[in-house]
Amino acid sequence: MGLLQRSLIFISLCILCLSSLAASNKVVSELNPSVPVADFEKQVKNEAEMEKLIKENTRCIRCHKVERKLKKIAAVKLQGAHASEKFFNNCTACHGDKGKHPKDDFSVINFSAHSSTPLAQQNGQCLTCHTPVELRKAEWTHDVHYKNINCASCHKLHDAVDPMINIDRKSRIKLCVDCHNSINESQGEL
Amino acid sequence: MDYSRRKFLAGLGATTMFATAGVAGTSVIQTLVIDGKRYAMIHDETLCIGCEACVDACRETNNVPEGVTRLEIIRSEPRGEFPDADYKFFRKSCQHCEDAPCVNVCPTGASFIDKKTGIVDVNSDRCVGCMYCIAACPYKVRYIDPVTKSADKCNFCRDTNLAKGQLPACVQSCPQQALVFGDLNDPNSEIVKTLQQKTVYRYKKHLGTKPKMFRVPDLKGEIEL
Repeated sequence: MGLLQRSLIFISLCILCLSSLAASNKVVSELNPSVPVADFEKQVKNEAEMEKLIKENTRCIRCHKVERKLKKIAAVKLQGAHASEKFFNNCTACHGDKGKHPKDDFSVINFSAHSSTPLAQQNGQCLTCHTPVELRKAEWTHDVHYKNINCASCHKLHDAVDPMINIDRKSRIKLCVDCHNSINESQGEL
Repeated sequence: MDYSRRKFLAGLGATTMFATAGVAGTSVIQTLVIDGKRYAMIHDETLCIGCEACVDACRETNNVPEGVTRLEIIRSEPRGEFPDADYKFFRKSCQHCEDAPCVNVCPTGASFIDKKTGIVDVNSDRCVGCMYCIAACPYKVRYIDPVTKSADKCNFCRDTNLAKGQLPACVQSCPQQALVFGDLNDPNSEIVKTLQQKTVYRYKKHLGTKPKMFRVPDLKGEIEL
């Protein structure tokens, strides 16, 4: 009887500990705004949507996983924070659905300065997860550049580490100086 | 007895007055007679982007130790809401006043106005570190150098870049050409031409120190004078 009682107490203690641990984890993620909640529950609410997502992404991977020399398509591998498990290699979350790609230029959202995707749409994609408050807190220059240049001009999501993460003061200033110098030299035309 | 003590005290007072006048005299003379150049600067707040390239350039050129700085760019709180928010930038550095309180209070004559250029500078060999100048400066730009233990501040790169015939480091490094440096006595200088073209203000002008740091106001907000 004593053994049974003791084991019961042990099990209940275990459950208590685990639940409190889970609660504390949740608090940490809520308090730390620099880690945006990769909330793909927003996109994937049910089994059917999950299936659609897998199907869409399989189509991306089919062409982009290896380098194709004939059509000069480079192999694409997502690394870094955006390749985390929570994100489950979700190309379409940022690039949108395949549509008629590659037959046209505008179905897929492309992130670059010379992309056919309008600037506002490119940056809008980032803003679905990263809120203005977080952006301002991380770096005040987000406020003044958001409407003028695309996020991908500085941030590289397919690299192992985004070059902007933990950038030192010297490189940061050099980035400002080089870019603003080139704007002044070209008289506003990049 | 009374008479002799009074005489003694009066004599003592006269001696000290004479002595202090002798020391301070050099700095007063240098304050009053400026011949040749009157160097000044314009900070165009409408062009400044707050990159702080000037701050780093100044530190490198003048070997300013970490923890202190001759130059700061103070960023305002954001004006407006994302994505239309913007910021205002204020350059905090020596104003090179023509009637400089730091020079007037210095008991050793270490703080002086260079009569050839009008630049307010510090002779670190004469400075005793009493910090009277730090208290007197209305712009709060002076500090005690942790290495030399002397008061220090911006001197328009007088002993570094200017001595080599170059522009001050901050002016050279600015990617926006927001800083204009030059001689106010030369009617053909860039600074005089810019002053004729642009509306400028001077910070705390009402104190009567005649600061030589001109600012082109970023007119989207209020101007603090």
